[in-house]
Amino acid sequence: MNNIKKILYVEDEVDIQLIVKIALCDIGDFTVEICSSGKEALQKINKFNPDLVLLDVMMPKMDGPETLRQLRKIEKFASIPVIFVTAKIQEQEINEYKKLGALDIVSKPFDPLTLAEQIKNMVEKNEPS
Amino acid sequence: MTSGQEKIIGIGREVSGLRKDGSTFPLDLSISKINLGEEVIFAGIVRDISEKRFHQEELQQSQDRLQSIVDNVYEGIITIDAKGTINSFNLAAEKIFGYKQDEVLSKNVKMLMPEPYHSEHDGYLANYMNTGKEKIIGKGREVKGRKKDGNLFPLFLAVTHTNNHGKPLFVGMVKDLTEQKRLERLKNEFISTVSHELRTPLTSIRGSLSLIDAGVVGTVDEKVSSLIQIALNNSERLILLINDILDIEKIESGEGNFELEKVNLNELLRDSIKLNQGFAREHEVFLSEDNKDDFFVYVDKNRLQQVITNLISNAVKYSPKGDTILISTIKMNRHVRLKVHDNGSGIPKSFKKRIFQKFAQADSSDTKQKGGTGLGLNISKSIIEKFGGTLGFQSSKETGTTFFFDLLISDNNKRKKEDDSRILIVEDDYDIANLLSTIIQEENINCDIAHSAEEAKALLSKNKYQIMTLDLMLPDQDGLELLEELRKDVTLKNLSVIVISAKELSSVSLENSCALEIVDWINKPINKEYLIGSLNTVIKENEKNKAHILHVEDDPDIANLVNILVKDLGKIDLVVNKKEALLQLKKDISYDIILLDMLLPDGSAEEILPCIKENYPSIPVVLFSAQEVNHTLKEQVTKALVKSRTTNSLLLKTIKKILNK
Repeated sequence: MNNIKKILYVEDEVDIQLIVKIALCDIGDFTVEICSSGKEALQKINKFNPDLVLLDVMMPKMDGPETLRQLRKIEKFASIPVIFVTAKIQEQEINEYKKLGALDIVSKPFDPLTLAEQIKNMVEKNEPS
Repeated sequence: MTSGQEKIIGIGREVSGLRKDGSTFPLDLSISKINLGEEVIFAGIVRDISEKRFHQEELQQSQDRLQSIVDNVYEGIITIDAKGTINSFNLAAEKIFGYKQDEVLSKNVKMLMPEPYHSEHDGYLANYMNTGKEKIIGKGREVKGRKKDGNLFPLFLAVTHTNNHGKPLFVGMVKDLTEQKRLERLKNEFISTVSHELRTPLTSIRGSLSLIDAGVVGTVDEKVSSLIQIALNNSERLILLINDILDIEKIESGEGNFELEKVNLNELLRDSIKLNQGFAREHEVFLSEDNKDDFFVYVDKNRLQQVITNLISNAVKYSPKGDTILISTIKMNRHVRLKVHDNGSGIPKSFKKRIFQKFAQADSSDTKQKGGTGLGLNISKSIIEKFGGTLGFQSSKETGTTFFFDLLISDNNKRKKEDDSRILIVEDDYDIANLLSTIIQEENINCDIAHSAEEAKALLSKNKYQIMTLDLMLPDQDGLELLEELRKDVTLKNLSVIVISAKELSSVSLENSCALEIVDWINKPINKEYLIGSLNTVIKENEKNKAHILHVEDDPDIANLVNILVKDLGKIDLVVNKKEALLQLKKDISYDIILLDMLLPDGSAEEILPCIKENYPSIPVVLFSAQEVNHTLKEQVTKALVKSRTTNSLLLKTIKKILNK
């Protein structure tokens, strides 16, 4: 399994930010950098240099998919694994997100206790052989 | 005469006449001038046309009434002739398309269709209208229309073919779906938004509680923990509830996003059992299955699993501890039934009526213990019904509860090779012929290829074909000419013809194609899905017209003989003794005729007749006996035939006559 140590987490809801931080840092042993918007993510990504991006879909101004597109434009992160987090699960949306280049989808509400595990499994599952 | 002298003489006029009693009446008056020597006489011929006028007025009123109805109907009504020329265009159609009646009358209906339909299908309206039989067209389709301003819009179209004094007439009903689509879109967006708005705060609530409860942020006092537990459980409940409600909304509004495919029911069942093992173990209940055969059903895999899980989880909740829940599948004629049985105390009588309603749970005290949202069965029922099946249950205190659903077995979705549907492809272009052949063989249908009219005729005389695809541009004869010739042959009466042609429909005389009974017209380049759909429809239609025959006969030679004779008329079910016959009769098959051998190894026909009378009182029975049949028995059957005296042709004739073929 790839060494995923650093996760860039993009989410506009402050409450959820904290929960995820605890879930991923305390339980999951990851290092997490939190961004409140797509814009912030684009600003911070180069310095933080994450191994994975966890991206909320519904955000004002720049939503998840748009943020993803912008991130992919940066050469260094053109193929960085990205996982979407969303409350709106429609089957066809899942396929759309995958087409955009997302590794997988985590649906809200998620269980913070198993989030870290879930993410590890998703990365393993989609490991290019 | 009342108007006195007329400048115009010799021409009749309608005037008003005045009777002696003072009443007036309509009057046809013609005056001639006659010269009698030096005198001039005017001769007037009068005719009371009250009655004529009355009938004229009535006729006019009737026409006005009809026109008023047609004009006030909400849907657009467009009628065209065989060439696609618009004969009538009602007010609603004017509103829908933006054209005034006189802007479209006598023009081709193509003008109402957008590209690519316009070129690709050469006017699908005319195309479908031409293929005439509504059975192919279907009860209505969603298509695209083009307004006067060039804008495209979604349109519902239903077409019927009728004859008006010998001339074919096609009546199209059109309905603008723009508004409907808009509302659907709004609804979906609403559901999507609501779903997000509800789930987001729940994420925070459940998330924080979960972390606290797990001790991740510090040890928790026992009392605190129990309160946290309460909050956590209820937020979980809310989440399930929201999911279920949104699910119902999706399914009921047809947005279930069903992806239908052929699914192996037993495999799915075993997966479901694996998934629910954990849950069952928690409740100290065992899951066991009893399924021998594989059944295939045409469903959405995930949704059906949802249903099975729902049934299993209900059974687990209401099963006594230590007990076993049995899940089994059984074939029921053309359906497969999946049963989930538990030995619980049964469903209370008063609850049975409400069980599929939303939020119904047997006992409100149970709710907290058993968990669940009370929506499971409601959703399951909706899902099964969307698959064309039925969901039901049997329950009693003594025997426990069995929930089951029935689904149509889809084994025959792909025809077996032994099926005797056979297609003749008449196409001179080798590539296209091969393409058609490949497409057809993928559907497990046999086919032959003829590259010319001559070859076609040769093959038709040698083999029996159900369907013929016809290219119009053949090297040795015009396709339609060939068809005209073939239609004169009575043995080809039941041959369904699908024209596959690059020729533009409008340039061909469509009046002929109705007389030639072409069931569909497909343009090149060939749309594979459309072709397969059309073929399947025709084959299904043909099967519908076939009779279902029950043959009770122990002599294999006779059984074989009858099979050969009667094969074209329909499908034969053969049973070889009384016992099998009685079993077969108990099944829910609608037979069109029963052929009954008098003497069977385990009994006689007389012993079967009462069962026939009970289950199929109106089905004709033909009795086949070695000896003369006595009078009383003769009266109980439609026809009694003596074997030695019945030739093959008599038998066939008798059966045909009875079936009215």
